[in-house]
Amino acid sequence: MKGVVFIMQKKSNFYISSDFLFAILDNTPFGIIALTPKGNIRWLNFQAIDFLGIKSDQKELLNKSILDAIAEPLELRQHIKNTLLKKRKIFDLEGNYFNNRYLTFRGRIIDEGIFITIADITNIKISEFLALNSMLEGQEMERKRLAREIHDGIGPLLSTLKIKLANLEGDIGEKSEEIKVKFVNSYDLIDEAADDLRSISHNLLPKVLLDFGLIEALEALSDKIQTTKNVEITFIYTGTLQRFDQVLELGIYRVCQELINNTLKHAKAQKITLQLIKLEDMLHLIYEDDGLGFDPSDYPLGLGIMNIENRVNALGGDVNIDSLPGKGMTTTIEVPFNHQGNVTN
Amino acid sequence: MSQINIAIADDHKIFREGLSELLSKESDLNVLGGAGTRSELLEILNKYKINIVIMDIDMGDLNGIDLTVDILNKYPDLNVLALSMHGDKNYIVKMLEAGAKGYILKNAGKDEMLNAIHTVANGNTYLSNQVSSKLLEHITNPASVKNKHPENTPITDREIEVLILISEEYSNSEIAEKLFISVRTVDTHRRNLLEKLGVKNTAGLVKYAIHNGFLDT
Repeated sequence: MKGVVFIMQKKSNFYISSDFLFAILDNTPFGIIALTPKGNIRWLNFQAIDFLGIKSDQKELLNKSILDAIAEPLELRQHIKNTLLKKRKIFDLEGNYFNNRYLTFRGRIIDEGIFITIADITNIKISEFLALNSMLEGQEMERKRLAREIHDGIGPLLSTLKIKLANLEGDIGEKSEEIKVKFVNSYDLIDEAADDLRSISHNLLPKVLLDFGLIEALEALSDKIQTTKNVEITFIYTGTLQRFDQVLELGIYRVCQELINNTLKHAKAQKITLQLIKLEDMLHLIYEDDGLGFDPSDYPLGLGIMNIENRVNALGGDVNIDSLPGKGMTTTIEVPFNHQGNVTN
Repeated sequence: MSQINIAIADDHKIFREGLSELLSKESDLNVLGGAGTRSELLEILNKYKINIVIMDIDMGDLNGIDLTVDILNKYPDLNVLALSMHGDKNYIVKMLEAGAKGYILKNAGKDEMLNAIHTVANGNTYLSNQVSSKLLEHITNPASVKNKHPENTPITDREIEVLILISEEYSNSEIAEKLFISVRTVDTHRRNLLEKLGVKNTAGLVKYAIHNGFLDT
């Protein structure tokens, strides 16, 4: 195509040579691919080659089929295939994680074939992660502060009060049966208050999680739900009991808390299955309940789903929620281990 | 009965005083000191012949588990009774591993506390009912078996359904339709099955399904 001079003429005398045009296209920060209607590469710029990690150079690629030229990302290939088969006219693939970058692919049908642009939105994504992470971090710090206040203030006060009452118990018992009953009632109330406080403080800052890690914490959580609520929880996990990044552990734990809360609040479920599967480079969380289910389009932002999505997005992961009325629900979550957004300190 | 000398390690003065008041009523118990820090505790142990240390686990910056290991290194004959808010089995196991002879919860009543102190001071083991049932759970509950090998991980009913449908040559989208889940979830189940069963591909899944009698032949 090089050397063919064409002139873009409007009413003015404005014209541009093809060399000049291609130089511009090669130097934009976007990847550009022009395909023939059959899917052969008509032209593409250096950015596109770089973004897609193609080993061949520009000239070798001309007239080759795009599907032969790129093996990945699979989702992009699938969309190109569908567009070539005329199943769809346009596609927008936002923020696809590929070759250490977040790329947005757009495909449009034009008279001459298909026009694909690729934008690198890694920086935008990273600042989103940072913003989200610092919001969540702020939230966690506030929770930590409250937990500390309970530990240092009302917690020991209640424990001490109990001991002081225990101290009285012996003196009272002999005097009057009636007073003894009243005393035991008060004592039980304090017990209850202490239990409530312990559970609040645990929700604020799950100490088992910090001290022993995600698996132990989820096991303890399942145990607790199983014994206090009317639902059967199975917790299955693979891999060794390794510790993960603290942000990842807390994030996944919070997501599980939210999911369980949703089930208890809305689903009337009898069974919950929680699975944590460690794959080579990511963690899979599969959460299923056999409850009432719902139509996800009715609750796009409800049921604590937004909290869950925020958490998972901050970890650079993906959430997928399946549910239908009467069919229970399945949430699958994938979180990569080493993610740029996983800021630790 | 011989006299029992007690030291209390807890980061809250008010609690130490309350506990001390309760225990001092017993004629055979002498609370000789309360400590909120490591050095305070070491000072007491150095000064008196202590029989039993009542040890809190979560002492702010100080960790009762490490502190137990620490003092038992210096005073191997010492008896440690853990007194904690935490009923989680991890803390119980860690504390016993550290060398504590007893473990009771802070919501224990007076009788239980006195019973625990006497038992542990004599060098015997005391676990409250709640604590020992937690411990028993830890030993017997199959959910707490550490799955070092993914191949030993149990597969769920839903996964078996997916496995059977895969083996019967249904495609991901057909399986999704049959089970009222999305294609993506089917794919997640498929990948987890590969990981759990330790096989590489669909052929491996089918082989597993046949060997384990999931398919009518």
